[in-house]
Amino acid sequence: MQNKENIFARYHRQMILNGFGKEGQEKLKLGRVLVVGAGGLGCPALLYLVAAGVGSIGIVDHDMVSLSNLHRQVLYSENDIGHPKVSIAAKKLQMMNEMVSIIPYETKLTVSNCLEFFSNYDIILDGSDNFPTRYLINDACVLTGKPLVYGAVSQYDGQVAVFNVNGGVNYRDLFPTPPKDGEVLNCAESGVLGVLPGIIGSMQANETIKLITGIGESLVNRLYTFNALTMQSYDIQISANPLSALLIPPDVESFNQKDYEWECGIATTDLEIDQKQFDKLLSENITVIDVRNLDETPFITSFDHHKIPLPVLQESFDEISGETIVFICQSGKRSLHAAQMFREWSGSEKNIFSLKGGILNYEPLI
Amino acid sequence: MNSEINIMVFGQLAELTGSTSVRVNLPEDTESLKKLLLQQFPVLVNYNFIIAVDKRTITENSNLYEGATIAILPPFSGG
Repeated sequence: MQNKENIFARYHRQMILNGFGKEGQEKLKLGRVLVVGAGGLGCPALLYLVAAGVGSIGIVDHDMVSLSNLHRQVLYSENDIGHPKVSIAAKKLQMMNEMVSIIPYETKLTVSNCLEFFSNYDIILDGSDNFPTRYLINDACVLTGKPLVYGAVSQYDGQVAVFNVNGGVNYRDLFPTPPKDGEVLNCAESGVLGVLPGIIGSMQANETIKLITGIGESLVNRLYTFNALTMQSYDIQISANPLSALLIPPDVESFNQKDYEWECGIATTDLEIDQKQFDKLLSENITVIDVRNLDETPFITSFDHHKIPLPVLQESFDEISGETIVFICQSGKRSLHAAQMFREWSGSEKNIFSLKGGILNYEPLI
Repeated sequence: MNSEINIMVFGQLAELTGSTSVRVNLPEDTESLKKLLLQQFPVLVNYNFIIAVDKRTITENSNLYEGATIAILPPFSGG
């Protein structure tokens, strides 16, 4: 029987590849990857990362295996139903490759544990299945400067991207704010072809291996989409979106105060911006609307704005143009109401905000 | 002079438009394109999507021209 620690024998087929070689294998051995979610995407990604010999692999998941997982979550067997995914996954993966260090975290990823987990890894692979976790992972990656290998599936469609490499774009450049709760159906509601996360998760493993070894052209700043029915793929360049930097918590303190579940629900918090965010927005091409009555003071002189008092606002919605609209008022209450009304009317394709604290708390920049 | 333009529709959006490809009269810019789409498919108002012109996402109103490649793509979170 061959010595299982014989690196050349084990990884021979990839080590003889042009451009990969012994160096590539050594880089993989030093690689540290955190996989969030051991589900449809996580299972295939983990299988290939472990098989390829990535040195240290963390797995975060708080779910138990259920019967409806088995058609796509290929690490689990019927016997595993009711058992925690991470411990089953870790056990099976370890049997595949005892040279890889596998660290299971049987917990839900939250703002309070996220940064600590991330600090032990070089690359984060997003195999989660919900928007709050996706925005949490994205913001934490930007905050800690970690590359993010993103993948998502729905029905027959998949997306893959590599975010936040050398200051590159992130998920919020694509979709600055989460969709409203219930707008986008999840796999349980809309279904997913079992093999699709197998394809997309394997692509995530591929992108991760490319990032670690430095081979090929990765999907940095590109969104790759794939349709399993037509076998058509389409990839687009992601432009930097000025809103992205405004919406990502600038420091650990503000990150810790974020409530991602709330942000992804029917929340008002994602409408509100503070003075700092407002000042940054003012340097962009935005529309500011003062919804106070015409005689209310102080009058605003430090930035361009339109005056449309709240009582006549609704009938004037047609006249409001622009991609990004900020409503303001005296204290921030009426403007929040205005922002909510306008969002209901215009839908979610415009960026709509309300200045928190209002004009009374606003100090113009000198 | 009524030139038409083809829009590729991805993911769940195709269920809303009824097709993975929609033809509209060439709008002047992406802002007018959005209006046109919302007129034709009012249900889209409740949905978030990105517009890509010539395989690049747009973050502000951009001019359109005959022969431009346009795609609309939704977010999804399944895993």
